[in-house]
Amino acid sequence: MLEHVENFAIAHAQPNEAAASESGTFLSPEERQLVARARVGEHRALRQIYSTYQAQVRAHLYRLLGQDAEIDDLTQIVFARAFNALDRFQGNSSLGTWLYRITANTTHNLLRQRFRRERVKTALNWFNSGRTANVGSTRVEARDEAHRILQQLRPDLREVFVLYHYEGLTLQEISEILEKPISTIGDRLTRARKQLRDLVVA
Amino acid sequence: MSNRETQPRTRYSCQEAREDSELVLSDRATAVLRERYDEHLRSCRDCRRVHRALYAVYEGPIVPAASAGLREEKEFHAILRRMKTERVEPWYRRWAVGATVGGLATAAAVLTLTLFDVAPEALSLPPSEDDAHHQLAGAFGGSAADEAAHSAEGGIDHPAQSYGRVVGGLALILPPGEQAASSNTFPVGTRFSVDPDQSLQVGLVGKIVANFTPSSEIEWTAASPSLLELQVERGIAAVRYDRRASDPVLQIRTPTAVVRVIGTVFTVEVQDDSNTIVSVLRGQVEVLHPKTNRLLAEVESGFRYDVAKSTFDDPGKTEVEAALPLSNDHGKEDAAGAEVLALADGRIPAGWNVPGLPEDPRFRTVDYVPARASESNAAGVTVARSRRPERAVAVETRDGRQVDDEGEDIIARLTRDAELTRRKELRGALDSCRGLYESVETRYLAAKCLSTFIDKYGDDPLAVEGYLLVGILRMDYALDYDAAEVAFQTFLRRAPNHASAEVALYRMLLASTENGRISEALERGRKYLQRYPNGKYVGKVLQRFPELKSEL
Repeated sequence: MLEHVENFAIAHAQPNEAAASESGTFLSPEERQLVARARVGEHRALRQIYSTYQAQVRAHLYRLLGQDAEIDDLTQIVFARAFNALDRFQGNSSLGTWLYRITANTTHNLLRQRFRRERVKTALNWFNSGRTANVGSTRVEARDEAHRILQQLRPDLREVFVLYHYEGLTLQEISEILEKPISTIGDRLTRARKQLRDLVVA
Repeated sequence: MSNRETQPRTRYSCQEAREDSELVLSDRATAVLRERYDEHLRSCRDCRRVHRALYAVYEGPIVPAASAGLREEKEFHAILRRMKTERVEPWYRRWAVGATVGGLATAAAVLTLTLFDVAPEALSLPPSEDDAHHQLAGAFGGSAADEAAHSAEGGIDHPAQSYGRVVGGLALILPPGEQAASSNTFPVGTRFSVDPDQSLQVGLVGKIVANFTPSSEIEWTAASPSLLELQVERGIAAVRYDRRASDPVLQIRTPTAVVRVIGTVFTVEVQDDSNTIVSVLRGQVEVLHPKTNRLLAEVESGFRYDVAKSTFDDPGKTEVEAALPLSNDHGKEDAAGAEVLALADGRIPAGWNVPGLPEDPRFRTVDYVPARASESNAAGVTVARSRRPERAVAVETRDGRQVDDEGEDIIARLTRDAELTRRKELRGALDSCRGLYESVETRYLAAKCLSTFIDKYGDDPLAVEGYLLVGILRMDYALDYDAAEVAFQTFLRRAPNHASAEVALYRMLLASTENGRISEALERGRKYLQRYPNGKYVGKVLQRFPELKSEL
């Protein structure tokens, strides 16, 4: 499954970066120097990038996928792909935003596959046993329930919701990460909120 | 934006409340709307449930903690491995590149052989490891400012850093290919046979300080940018490694285990029956099977792991005593907010986890460490030796000749000067420091004593060598290169033509080298060679920087 994910990501992650100009303004001089050192394969620079952003990548994957045995594997894939693509990173976004884009591309197919599988499973459960009582009494239970609800959101809507509400990115930043017009992102966010409300009320 | 806030307070049903929930949850509702929403919630149980559920959704899941320590290290190395496997090029590109390179190489070889008379060895000579290292250092070295930033991150970039130094003690030291050490600086591949009556303290690559207990047999087997390795055949190796992000991983091999360290204070003991015992005082280590690399145990601070029995226990006096010379631990912050290493004062640092030891600093000494049953029977056979009053000579050769110990000479001269001036007070203060310095088992305590001496008599012209000694001790035991440099500079400023100025200059070069500031070290090496072309340390300077031979 991960091979499909990687192939998709390789096909989609870099072309725009390659076309971007050299004079990126999103990176501080220190970051530019760090990227330059990482490009020639200096371990300490790679290590510094990894140490700085691994918490961001892992947390984002967790929010997108939930508790999952493949999160460690996906974190490694994201960084391995990022390190291999550093020579095509031109600094037209911050390193963090660029890593969000690679994460989004890496998880694109996986999210969709899982969503389809989950939908079939939920439908079968519904058919077999009827809807279970939806009573969340404690804070932890409410959060588990929230997680479950989020997983029922369509992947394209979930991506936008997570990036906006959990990662705190702007619509403009999300539109750059997902390479969609800002109007589409705004529309997806509205639909995500509505769908979540419907899921909670249902 | 809702218009309900502007409407008269007529009707606010569940439908309206649910439509407004997102505005309220994302803090975009006005005070009026918020009030109406809350009022509705108070009266509607179902809407309260929906609000709670939506609140949990907007709050987001609790994210588990990010990787840290050993797990982070493993993951980073897994990423590096994955990078190589993922870097797959299309077949046509591989073929095209291969064919082009092959064709060009053949054409170049034919042309070269035809046109020039080339020595055969010139065709086959691969670049030496040193060349590769120098190229690497050149490529990444950059300016002194870059180097300062690099040295803060750690790492080993230059071959000049891949040396160790004897800090104190008595041992037969056998560098590879030599019968016995001719100086207190040694390369990778060196074996140590520690004297049965004294321990040996060494610094490795400027990042690790280790104490080998009496009768230990140890070899330094590897030093690369990613791995440092020691082989313990017998005895105890106590190690302090305050690893920075890019520093190599330390591995200690024994006949029955491999101990992998990210950064910590710990001891590894190999007993007479080859069994391995690992005790951790700060941090965490992994113990692996020596052949299969299977994880045997993760040992955390405050635990002692017996490999043969696979049992955990508390570290005892033996381990704490072996590690005590490494007790320069994190202390207070300076005016700029940087952490300053505390000088060792014989007490067990607060950061070390020794079960059963009181928290009160007054009682954090070896005497208060609870003894294990086996220790009370053996009475500290391995390390608790009687302290001999004679000199703690760094290295001895096979024929018993003793090798240089610059600190020893300085303190002797300092005491002599104090005696000549009949300054009883000064002499008395210095005598106590000398007592500590002379024994290898207490030498690590001399830095604190000398610092107090300097605080009191630092303005006295006769006390100027105290700065030099403090610098040497700060560098050797605390690996605190910044503090050491300040001390050396103070010494040189106050006594630029002093007989020990040569030592100070050499030590400054050493401090830059071990701290990873290679271009600064080269500059200092040049200055040293220009000033002392026949100096005592010329050999040592050229050992680390052969490229400076042209300066002579």
